[in-house]
Amino acid sequence: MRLSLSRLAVGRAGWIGILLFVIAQAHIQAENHPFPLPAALKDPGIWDQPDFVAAWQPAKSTAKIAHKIWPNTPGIFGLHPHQVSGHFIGNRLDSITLLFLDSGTHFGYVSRDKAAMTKKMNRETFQALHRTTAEDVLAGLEKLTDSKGYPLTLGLTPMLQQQVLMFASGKLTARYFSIPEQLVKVTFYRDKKKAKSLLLDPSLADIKRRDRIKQLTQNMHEVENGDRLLESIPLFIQGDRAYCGVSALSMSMQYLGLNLDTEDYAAAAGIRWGSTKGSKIREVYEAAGREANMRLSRSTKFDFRKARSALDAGLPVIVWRRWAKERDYVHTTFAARFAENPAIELPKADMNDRATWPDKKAYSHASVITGYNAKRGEVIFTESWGESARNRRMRYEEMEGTVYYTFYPRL
Amino acid sequence: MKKIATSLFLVLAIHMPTWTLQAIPNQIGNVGFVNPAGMRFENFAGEAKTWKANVKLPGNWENWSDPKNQDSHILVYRLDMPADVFGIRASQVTAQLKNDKVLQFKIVFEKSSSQSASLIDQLTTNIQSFTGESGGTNKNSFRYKKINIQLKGGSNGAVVVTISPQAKAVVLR
Repeated sequence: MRLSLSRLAVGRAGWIGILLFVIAQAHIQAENHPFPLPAALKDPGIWDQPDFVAAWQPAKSTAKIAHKIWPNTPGIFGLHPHQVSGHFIGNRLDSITLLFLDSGTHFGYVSRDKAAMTKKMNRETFQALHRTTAEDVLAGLEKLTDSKGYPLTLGLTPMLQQQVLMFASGKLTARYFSIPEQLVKVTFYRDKKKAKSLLLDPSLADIKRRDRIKQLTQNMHEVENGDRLLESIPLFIQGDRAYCGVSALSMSMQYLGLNLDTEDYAAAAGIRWGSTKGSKIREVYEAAGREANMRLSRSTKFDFRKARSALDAGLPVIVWRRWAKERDYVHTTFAARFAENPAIELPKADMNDRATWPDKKAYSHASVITGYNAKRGEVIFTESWGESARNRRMRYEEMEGTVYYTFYPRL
Repeated sequence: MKKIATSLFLVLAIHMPTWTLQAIPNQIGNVGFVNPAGMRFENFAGEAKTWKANVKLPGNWENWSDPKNQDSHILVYRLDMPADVFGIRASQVTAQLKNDKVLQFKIVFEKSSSQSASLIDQLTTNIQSFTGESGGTNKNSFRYKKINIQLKGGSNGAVVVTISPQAKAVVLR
């Protein structure tokens, strides 16, 4: 018996069959879910049609804010975007973003030691790709809207400020945004005011501090087993991109009302050529805090007591921590067993257990703290990997022992 | 065999979009065996059907001449692709089969320079987490569904894990 696929000849006919099958699958998918063009980019009436709403994936989301993906990438303006995503608030489609070019998606994850080589090998080609993509998208938008658009500056902080072009597209408003070597995207909004703001709700800027505190505090829920959870943190998937830090930020900040996507933060931080090398993620965190009219105070330690206070006030905490797949296995498998039997507990950290925690040689990774259970001594955290990685558990001692930066939002 | 390979490729092709949606950072741990199997190796070993006759082992396996195998009726195959088992990259995974039925999987781990913890401690912790068992007095014998998992220290810090069905554990000498 030998099952080595790599050494078994599939045969020319087999390969052709595979190719035809994959193409056929893509066609079936596209035919089952044709993106209604150009109507969906002009008419908000389409956005409310049940068939259109039901096509976005994943169908269900536990959070109030959800990013859902159109099941295929339709041809738009003669291009195929990386992704067509719908921004849902409740079950209502609030905006559609066409991500035509994103450096992180284009290059995938590139380790720091390969960043310089990746840049050297690809810079000219990617610059040219960015240029032609931006030109094609702008030409397409001008044709769609029969206008040249008008420029607008959004945001307060230099790092996150966006020079955008606004277009009236039927009953929708389109916002074009591009950063050389980074990003080309267009977002279509129902609401013109929202299109002209970086805030999810432009009236947020006028809400009194004490009212905001009251609103946020109400988001904290206690469940039967003593878990205290922020259940409304949206989940934005980082994919195979060096975006954990900016995904954790966008998840937290969208919950707090700042309407920027993971790719916006990545572009602002300068995560280029697939790598975080030389990027300014920490600075982008500070800028995001200021944009949302709050502070993201940074500490080099994780303090369980302080994190609990923040969470009780409805404020998610972001941690940057040492991460190893060997140790992540414990959190993954515990989450799976906990889902079947909520009575099980993580073992207390003894010397042997501590020896298996990732140290300074390990990878860096960002997670969002979304809750805790004081009785069980557990921190509840969420990863930007998908719904299956929501509300995982870790003993607080381990979080304290592996975190090297904690970001506490403060109003 | 060509038909089997073609069918497997078709299955892979159909599921490819799902894998690309997996957001494991940097795709760490999401390589090798997990892709054709659609599950981790230890989960595959925990499936009852894995131990039934005429099982199709997913992934690439090659004939392997195990010098310790004294029984000519037992065929040994070595996994010819990377696999993380219990969260740790295995250096060798072999399957022992008799009459087209798996008797035992043997997984060898070798300590890598990037690991700070002792390999046996790390594996013990991870197997405990996977099975929910402490591993008995010596912390080296675990039960999961209908399989036994035995953990044993080898030379130069290496660790050998054997997985066999609970009913008829067969250990090759």
